[in-house]
Amino acid sequence: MDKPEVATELFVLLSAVLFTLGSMGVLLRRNAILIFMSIELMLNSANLALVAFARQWNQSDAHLMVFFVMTVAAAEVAVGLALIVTIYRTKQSTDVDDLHALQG
Amino acid sequence: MVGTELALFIMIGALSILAAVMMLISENAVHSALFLIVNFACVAFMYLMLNAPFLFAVQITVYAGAIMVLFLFVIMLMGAERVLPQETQRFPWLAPATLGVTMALLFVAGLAIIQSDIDTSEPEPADPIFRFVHAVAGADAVDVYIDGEKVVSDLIYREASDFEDFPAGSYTAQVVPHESELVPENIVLETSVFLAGNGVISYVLTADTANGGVQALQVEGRIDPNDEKDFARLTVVHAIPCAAGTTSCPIEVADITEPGKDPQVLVKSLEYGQATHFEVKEGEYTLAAYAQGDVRAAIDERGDTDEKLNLDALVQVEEKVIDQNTGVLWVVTQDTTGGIVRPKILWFALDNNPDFGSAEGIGQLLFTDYLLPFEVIGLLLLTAMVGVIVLTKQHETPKKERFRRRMANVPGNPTVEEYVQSMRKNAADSSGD
Amino acid sequence: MEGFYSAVSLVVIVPLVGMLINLFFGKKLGEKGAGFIAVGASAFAFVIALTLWATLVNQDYAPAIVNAPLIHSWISVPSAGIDIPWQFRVDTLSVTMMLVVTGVGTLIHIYATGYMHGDERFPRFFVYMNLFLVFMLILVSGNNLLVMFVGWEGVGLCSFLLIGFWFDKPGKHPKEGTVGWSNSNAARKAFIVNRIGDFGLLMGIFLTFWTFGTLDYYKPNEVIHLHHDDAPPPVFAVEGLEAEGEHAEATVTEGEHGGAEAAHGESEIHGIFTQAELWFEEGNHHVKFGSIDLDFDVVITLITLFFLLGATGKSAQIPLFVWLPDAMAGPTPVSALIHAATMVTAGIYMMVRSNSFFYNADLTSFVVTIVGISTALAAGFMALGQWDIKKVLAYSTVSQLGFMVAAVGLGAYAAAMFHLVTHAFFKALLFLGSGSVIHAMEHGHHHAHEHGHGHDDEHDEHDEEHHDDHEFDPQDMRNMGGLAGKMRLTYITYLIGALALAGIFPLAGFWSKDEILADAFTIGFDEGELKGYLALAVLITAAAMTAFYTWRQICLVFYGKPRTAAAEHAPESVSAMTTPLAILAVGALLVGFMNVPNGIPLLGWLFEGIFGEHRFTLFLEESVIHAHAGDFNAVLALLATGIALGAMYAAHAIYGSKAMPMPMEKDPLEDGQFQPLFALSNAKLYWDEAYFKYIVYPFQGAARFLANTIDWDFWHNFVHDRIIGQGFQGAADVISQPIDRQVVDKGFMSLATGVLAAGSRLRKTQTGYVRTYALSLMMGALLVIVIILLPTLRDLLGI
Repeated sequence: MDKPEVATELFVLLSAVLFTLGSMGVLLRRNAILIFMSIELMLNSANLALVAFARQWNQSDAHLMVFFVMTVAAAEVAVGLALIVTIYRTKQSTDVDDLHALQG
Repeated sequence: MVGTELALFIMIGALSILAAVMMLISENAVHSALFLIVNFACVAFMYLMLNAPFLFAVQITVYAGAIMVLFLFVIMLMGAERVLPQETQRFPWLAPATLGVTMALLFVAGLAIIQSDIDTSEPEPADPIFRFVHAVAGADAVDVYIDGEKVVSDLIYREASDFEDFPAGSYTAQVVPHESELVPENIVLETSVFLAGNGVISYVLTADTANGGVQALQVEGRIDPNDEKDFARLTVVHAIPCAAGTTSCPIEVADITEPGKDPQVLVKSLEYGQATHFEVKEGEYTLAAYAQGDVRAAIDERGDTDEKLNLDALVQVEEKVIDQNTGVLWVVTQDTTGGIVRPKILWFALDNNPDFGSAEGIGQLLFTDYLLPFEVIGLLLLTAMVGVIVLTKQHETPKKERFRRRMANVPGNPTVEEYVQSMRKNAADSSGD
Repeated sequence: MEGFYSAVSLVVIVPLVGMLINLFFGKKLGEKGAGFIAVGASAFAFVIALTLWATLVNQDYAPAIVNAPLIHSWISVPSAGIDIPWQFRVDTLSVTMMLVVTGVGTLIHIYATGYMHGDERFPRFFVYMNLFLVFMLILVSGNNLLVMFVGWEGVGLCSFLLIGFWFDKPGKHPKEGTVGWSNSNAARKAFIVNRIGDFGLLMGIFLTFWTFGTLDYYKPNEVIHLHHDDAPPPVFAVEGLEAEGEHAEATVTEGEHGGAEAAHGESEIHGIFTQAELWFEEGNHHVKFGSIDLDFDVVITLITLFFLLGATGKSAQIPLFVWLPDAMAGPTPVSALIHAATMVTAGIYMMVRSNSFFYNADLTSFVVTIVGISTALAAGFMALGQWDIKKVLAYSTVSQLGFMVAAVGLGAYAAAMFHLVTHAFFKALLFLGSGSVIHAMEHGHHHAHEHGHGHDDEHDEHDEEHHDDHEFDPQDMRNMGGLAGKMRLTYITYLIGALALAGIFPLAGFWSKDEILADAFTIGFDEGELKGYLALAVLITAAAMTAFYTWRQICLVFYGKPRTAAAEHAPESVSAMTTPLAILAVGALLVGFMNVPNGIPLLGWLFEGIFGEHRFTLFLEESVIHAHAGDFNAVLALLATGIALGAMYAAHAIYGSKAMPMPMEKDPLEDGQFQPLFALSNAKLYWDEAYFKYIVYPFQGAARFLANTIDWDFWHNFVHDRIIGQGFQGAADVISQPIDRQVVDKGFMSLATGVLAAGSRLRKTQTGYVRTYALSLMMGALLVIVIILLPTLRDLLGI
């Protein structure tokens, strides 16, 4: 089999970069919606790595994993956004720093 | 020298990183969402480059489309597009700590990726898959054992078993009549089989006219693309039993794809129980099997006129697609149940592995190996739906319940500290006695 | 047609359903609905029993064993080899019992709808009655001893519930009632006395199971051979062993494989009775009880003696009969159904069912005869001096049951069953008639109170007394008199029942009693056995007593002039009560003809022509192996009838012609030379007193000693309080103060305060802010990755 022109490593590196950016977003931003978007970014970077390895190993199974991850992400977004809406109703804010009822 | 693909990768990758950063630093949530869509689109493009067209489509429609629309909708619904001014930083140490941790993460991951030599590693060969085809005319149903383990049960004439997979290696295959014990006097055929890695193998059980008994013909279904590029291999097995009293009844196989042309004889003579294979180009074929010499005789009879050939095929397969680098098996048989001779088509595309990354391939996997996870995921979505409905429902707290809650907050219950104080006091009192 | 056999389950289920309906919806249904359900269930069961009888006839009397639905394998422990299935047995014996129980039961149900009218617990009464039917039918239809025992205990329970049905009413005789409520005392007495009998039955069942390894009467593959030869089987001849063996072989044949398997000595394929017959035929069989090795004859004697103890309890024989007279505290339909017609005959049924055992146990047969005849005599004597109309009938029942038991002891199983059936009719009739009289007396009493002021001296006397309601006893025959004219139908039916009881030709009692006497005669004079002579002499005496007290009762109740205002105003009962009386009277007239013996002089051709010979005996022989027909003995019959007529004449001379005793006055017999005898009879031979003196009081004394001295003073005060309690306290003081408080408590307190301090510091890390948690998460993930990649990193960094 021919070697692909773009090495798998590059894709995985890109995935790592995107993951780091996503995690920074989760940690730094205070807007709950933006945190959510960052989580989506992290999930996408993981997907990218999966697809890259799938090509490397010539196995379709990873594609299935990506498919499932997307589905789970959809479910998670729906529930998460519902939570945000509910919180917004009670607190009139989407700032996660306003939520600290679990303080010990 | 940077190739086109690499150049494209660098450009798109840079764009995706840029979009991610912009999403991070945008003040406006709507802008963030739009940048995220750009990022998703870039990732989708990466999927395309990685030979995953189906995921590309899903990424664009579901992720960048549906999910992000949901985000935008919620942002607009709540009117939260403007991010609140950063008034007091509650954790001033958080930003530097975050930067440190994430950079360390990136550093470590990058090191690992560069060090691990991903590109030079080779995948393990997949387990071979194999099946048996019963092509012994008039014989009863059989069971097949591999190393004493029953893998095929009740295989009747003119049928093929399902694919089984075994680790690569050498095995002994034993064929016995259906539902009889695996003891030497019952064994119809005992043969050793070699299952090579990545193999897709059909064993055709045919009558051994030379020695009597049964033989197993091995037909490879997957052709190493490095060996025979742009070719397919068609294997033909003759399984129409000879008329009573005759021992020889060869057939010939001809290509009659183009109706106007004379049949192109591909196989000149094939005895009952024998197999032959030849290479064909990929394409759509109509093939026919005749008794040996019929084509020649028909052409001779017609002479040089333009008349149609007076020619009847024993069996005929029509408009079958043969892909390159695959093996195709045609077992030439007739259905003679009830005394009427009808053509029976046994045509197997041997390669069980559809194209990598295609919608078809994913679909096949989804509905075979991953059916259970698929259903679980479906259930999860359903649960999420119900959960969303429950979460966002506006609860009307009943009056009684509100009253009860108020009463529960009546001051006077001891706090933990008070309770501990009283405990200590008690302990001191008792020790003082 | 065979399929109808499976309907036997319905015989039990239908009353059960009726009971459940009344149990849950009885109050809502009201009197009419509840009565209808109960009567309907009973009548339906009777129809099914009739169907079973027809099926039996149609199937040439082939017995059948039917598996019960659902609970068929109620006791099954395969690992221990115990399998006692719940099976019904349909054969002539069980169907006879079913017909009696459901037939008489239905009539009494109908009667009870009238009798219990207006009672506050009307639906509950019918719940109990239907429940009784359920258990009684289980008792007679089961195919093994354990199922029979379920029914046995169940009817005991129902008896207890129904005797104490008016548990909240004070006793009719305040002097006799000891403490509290005499009705519930009577119920408890019946229950406790029956426990003694049940102990015997249980022991018998245990022994049977140990001996045979099964409790089934017969196994499904066994066929009882049916012989229809005209000559009566020579079962009474004292035969040699060989002849005995032949007989058993001719009587019982196994299923096809029975013989082969019997050769292996396996008892599993045979029911207990067939196996017993085989072992008797084989002879020399031994049964091992651990280290004790007993001869099979001895074992069977033990089993049958235990069975006899069970029968004396349930069928009110000496020494356990004392509960039955007290059981008359229950409503009269209960007395008629349970304590005269059906439940008390369970002991007879059980012994007849086990005839294979009893027939072969000579010693037991003798004991059974003695118990039966002594009961018949003693109870007959006690009945002579009673004032309570139901007490007379109660002792009469005990006496008649003694007749049946004696018949079983004599080996006259068919005669016993025949007397059981006829007795069920005429005794139920008499009880129902007495109930009608009592009912009328109560009505007359109320009527007199409301309307008849000052017309009668006695009446005025009563009116002046404020305890009138307590004093007046509607069951006391001294308060009655002259009811023949007021209650025409009750009088006629009662008269028929009384004549049947006295054994006057050609009523039912004549035929059945004569059959027993004839059998006793055969045993005594033809075979020269002692028990035959004894039985004949005693039973004829008892029969004379029967005739005497029966006619005494008729005279006191129906003849002469009314002695109280209540009797004066007594009205005839409602048709719901009189209709069953009429039907039962017809039964008491005719039921005797079902077993007309052969050899009757003069009229023999007539009866045999119409009714055939020994029909009932032949019917029973299909299932009761040792049943046989007795020959008619004209001299004996004439003698018995003559003595009975003489006794009746004497009774009439004493009670009918002279001035009747006024209320609470002395009996004519109390003045003459019979005074001591009458006192003895009136005091019931001081039997209860003897029991109290020699059993109950010593028992209570022992219990008091055990409770006060042993349990309280010794165990409680000394052992528990002094030794254990105080010793424990002392030890606890030692342990608690220095060890627990100083060491354990302090240790745990310091541990707790330490945890508390640590917790109050650590809780500061729980900021409640999501982002700090997320950062910790990220740091943790980084840590894990670094650990995984440590080798790589080390290589890379050259550390």
